[in-house]
Amino acid sequence: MARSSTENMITLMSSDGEEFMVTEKVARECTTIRNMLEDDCVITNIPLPNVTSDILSMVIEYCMEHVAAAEKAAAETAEKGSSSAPAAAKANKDLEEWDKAFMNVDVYTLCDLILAANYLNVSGLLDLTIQTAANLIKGKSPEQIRKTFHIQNDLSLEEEEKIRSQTPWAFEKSE
Amino acid sequence: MENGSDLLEWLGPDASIRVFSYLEHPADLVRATAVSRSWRQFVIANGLSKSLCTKLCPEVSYFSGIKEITPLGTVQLDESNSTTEWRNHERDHKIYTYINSFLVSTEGATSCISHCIGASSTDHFPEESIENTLEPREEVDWRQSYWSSVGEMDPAVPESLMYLLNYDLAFVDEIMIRPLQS
Repeated sequence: MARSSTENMITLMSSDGEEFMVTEKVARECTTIRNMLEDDCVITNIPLPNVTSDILSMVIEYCMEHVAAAEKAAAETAEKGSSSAPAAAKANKDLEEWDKAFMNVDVYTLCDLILAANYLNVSGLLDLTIQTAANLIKGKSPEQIRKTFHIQNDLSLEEEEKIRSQTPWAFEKSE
Repeated sequence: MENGSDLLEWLGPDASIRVFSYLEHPADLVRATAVSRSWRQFVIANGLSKSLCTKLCPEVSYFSGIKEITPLGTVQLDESNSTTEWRNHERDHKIYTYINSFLVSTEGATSCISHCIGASSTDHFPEESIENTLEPREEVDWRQSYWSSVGEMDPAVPESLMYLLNYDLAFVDEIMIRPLQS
């Protein structure tokens, strides 16, 4: 299939009916959409019944930022003939910082982003969100984890005591 | 979470397993089992301790089976009407968590050898005995420290050194051999 011009615009429609116009290049960051476009290259309107407008706008924001960063890196390489290592490292670091700030969301949004990234198959965003969720568990006590994810403790005192007494080493550092 | 639904329900099993697979320390998995019943069920039923163990030590995938040996005289109490399948999951979780705790522990990482049992042959006993192989120094009392076999005319005849290990199960990831030049 011939590669379409990057100027092509695609309309993405969220579950609540909101429309988002994005360049094809941004839309292609989602592997699910890329596959749809490759199957049917005249498609311009894509309904996404599993993603709400709040979450879709965030996914698009993420894709736009990453497309822009990749374009900037490519332009710099083309200009100078070769990429300068310190500039590339700085650009990477900037993008990492941006990702980190982007992940400053509540757990509900985080979980919805995981589901959307999984459904739309945006591998970078899926890795980022899964890693962020895992970081909310890493090194935390059961009590802290319950608080973060608003989980009711339905284990009996005996059950909890049994886990602690069988594996005391796992509870030494966290509390 | 919202409407009382759990993170695990919210994300579904596939995404939840991905989140848990990003946990690198066995203690994180153990603490997750103490969060709630559904978390405990999830970690144990999906064999996450075994997955982590296989990641920490790929050789574990060669295990053909595992068995828990109950000390004589103790009676295994079947506390609930849990199914055999669940009990097997629980047993696996317990054993792999135990192995994991050793894999990340720094204790015993230096040497797993308890003591020497014997060598196939020793040239000069005790000056060149197998005991010298546990000696990190090259010289002891102004004398080079090494083990030497009696030697054979036929180079195909094997020599062996036998040691007793500190543990019933040990993963040996490094063996240091220093040939003596003389």
